[in-house]
Formats: sequence, C-alpha cells, structure tokens
Amino acid sequence: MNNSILEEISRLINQKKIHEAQIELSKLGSEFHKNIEYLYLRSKIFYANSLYYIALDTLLIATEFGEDDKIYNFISKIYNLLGNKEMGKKIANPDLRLATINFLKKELTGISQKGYSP
Amino acid sequence: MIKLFWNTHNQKKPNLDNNKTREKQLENIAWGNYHKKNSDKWIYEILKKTKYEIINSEINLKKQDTLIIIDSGVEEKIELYTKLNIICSKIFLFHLGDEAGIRDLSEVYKNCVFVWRTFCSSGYFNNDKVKCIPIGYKSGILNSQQNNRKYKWAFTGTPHKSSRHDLLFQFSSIEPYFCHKTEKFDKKIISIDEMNKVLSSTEFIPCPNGFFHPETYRLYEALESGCIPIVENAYQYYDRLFPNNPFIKVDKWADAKPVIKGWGSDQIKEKREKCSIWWNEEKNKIQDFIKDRVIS
Repeated sequence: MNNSILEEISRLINQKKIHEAQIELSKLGSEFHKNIEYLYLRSKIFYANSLYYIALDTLLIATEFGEDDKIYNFISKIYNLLGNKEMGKKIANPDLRLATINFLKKELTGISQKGYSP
Repeated sequence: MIKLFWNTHNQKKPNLDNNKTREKQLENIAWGNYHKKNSDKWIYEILKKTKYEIINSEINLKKQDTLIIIDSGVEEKIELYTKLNIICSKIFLFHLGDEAGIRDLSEVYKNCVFVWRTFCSSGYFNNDKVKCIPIGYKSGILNSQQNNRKYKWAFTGTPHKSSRHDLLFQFSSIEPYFCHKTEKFDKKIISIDEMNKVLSSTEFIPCPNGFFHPETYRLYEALESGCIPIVENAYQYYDRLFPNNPFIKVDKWADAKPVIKGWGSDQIKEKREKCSIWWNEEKNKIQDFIKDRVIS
C-alpha cells in the first residue's frame, strides 16, 4: 500500500507534475517520516522548486534511516550544482561517502535525528 | 486609558510530574526571558507613535482599559486571556516567538481585537485580524550608516544545516571577512558591543534561513546597521512579507559571490541607501498602522 502511493508520487514527479506530487506527499502522515523513499521524493520536489538546501537536509536525514545509492548520488548531484565539486566527488565515491557524510553531520548540528519520535 | 503590559517573562511554573509538559514549559520560560531581554527595544520602537502607560501586572488594569500586551507562549495562557477580555474593553496582542507556528492559537486570539505576531506563515499573510511584524533586531544593536567598511561580509551564528555550511564554503575565499561560529543558538555569542563593531564594519550580511523559519534577527540587525542583506529566496518568503523589498535574494550562495566580490563602491553605496530608505519607511508604516489600529 505504502509503496504503491510512493510509486504513484514518483511517477508524477517524473512527469514533472510537481504540484500534484506535492499535494499527494503532504497527505502522508508521520508514519512515513523515517521512510527513505518518502524522504527521497520530498527532496526531489524541493529540488524541483529550487530549494536546494532543504533538499540536501532532507537527504542527509534520509541517510539516518537507511542506505541507498540513489540518496548518495542525489546528494552528490546537489553539491556539484552548488559548486562544491570536491564534496560532490567524495560523496559519489562509495569508498569515501560514509566518512564524508559523517563528517558533514558532525558539522551540521541540526541534522541528526537521534531521539526523534513522530 | 491605553495600558501596556509586557508579559513574556511570566510563564507557567514547570510541571515536575510530567516530563513532556515540563520540557515545553521550561522552553517557554527561556524564550519569555529571551524576548524580554532582547526584543524590548524593537517593540518599543514600533510602538513609538502610540501613547500608553506601562503597567507591571494585570492587577493594574481597570474596567474599560485598552490593553496592549506583549506576550509569548500564549497557547498556555488561555485562562489569562479569557479573564483579560472580561476586564478590558479591547486587547491588542503582540505575540512574540512561535517560530514553528504549529500550535492552535484560536482560543487566545479570539479574545483580542487585533494581533501582531512574528514569524509569518501562510495563514497570516492575508488575515483581517492578524498582521505579521518583523522579528526585529536584538536590543543593543545601534543604528549605523557608516560608509567605509573593512569587511566584505560577516557571519555569526550556528551552521546547523546545509545552507549555512555552504555559505561558509562559498564565501571563505572572499576576504576580508568576519566569522564567529557558535555550536548552539545564543551560546558563546559575541558581545553586543563587538556585534555593533562588526556590523558597522561590514558591507554584506548573508542571512540564511533560521532553524524552523526563514526569518532571523540577522536580517534586521543588518538593516539597522546599514549593511546590505543577502537572503535566501526560499518560498519567496520575503517578497510575500515585504513586497518591493530591496534585499539581494539567492537560491544558492554561489549566486551571491559575484556581487560580494565584484560590486564597486558606488554600487554598494547605492544599494545601501536603498535598503536604508526602505527600512526607515517600513518601520514608519508599521508604527502608523499600530497607532491607527489601537486608537480606532
């Protein structure tokens, strides 16, 4: 059930129906807040609305709840777009990405979700 | 008679039996004291054209008085507002804080003739009874319009999320600059005197979004100190709050680099003057609006 809703939203995003996707995502409750697919789709919508930093924060939060190459690749893509090529390169590299993400989270005190309970 | 009562520092005592409630109440106490200490100069400035008598307790209220109340954590004070509504002929609330904007305030707001609140959100941009005011500058920030400024840009605060981290990455090659990073909000901050020195010596102030909300004191401190603010354009928040504002707006900090690096002194002077004129006009408009509402 959950997956089919998220797949539908993903389809809307791919068709560039960003507003519709946004409405569908906003209907989902707090049970999705630790779901990395949900967080990934949210970040795609933020990105489509030029909200690059919120997209990045959302993806960094997603890494707290699971690992998925597409999350890291999207983080890398956003850092490249922002002009931080070195960061983009490190996160794209499977051997360096975990250490780089952990370093980032230490710097960004507002990202860690430890103690988060919806 | 119009009476003004500052009530942010009067909050419910912590409930020792309930951890969750206690945490929230302690937070309200901390923020209430913070507003009392840091927002008084700003609030009294926007109330400059309104005549009132200051009272220190609600017991100084008489029947038919008009009350201007400055408050925070109001969601915990429904009983007080119900009581005040029985005593006073009119209540005008200045609601400070509430950055997250997720609480139901209807039971408090319904007792007030009009509400001014900080941290605007969708429900308040066009509201007949509630008007958003800027969160303003911290008390002690001096108005300065000095021309020769040694720092190209300055940042003081906590790099808690990606935007601030990228800001420091992008701008650290643009010298000279001033940067003071803190680990937590309001902890190990620089003194207000030092802050005044930095602001009056800086051309551009990047104003990244706050933790929950786009607005931060930084923007209004920049304007008050004659700096040029560069804000994040997320959700076009500032264009909705202040149509025709002169701020520099960016989607990503790299877009501001050519401005900070490349603008000559004439361009900077012109923008600074635009910002200064706009800010003074904006403050005047707010003062007039408040005065007109209260005496109407």
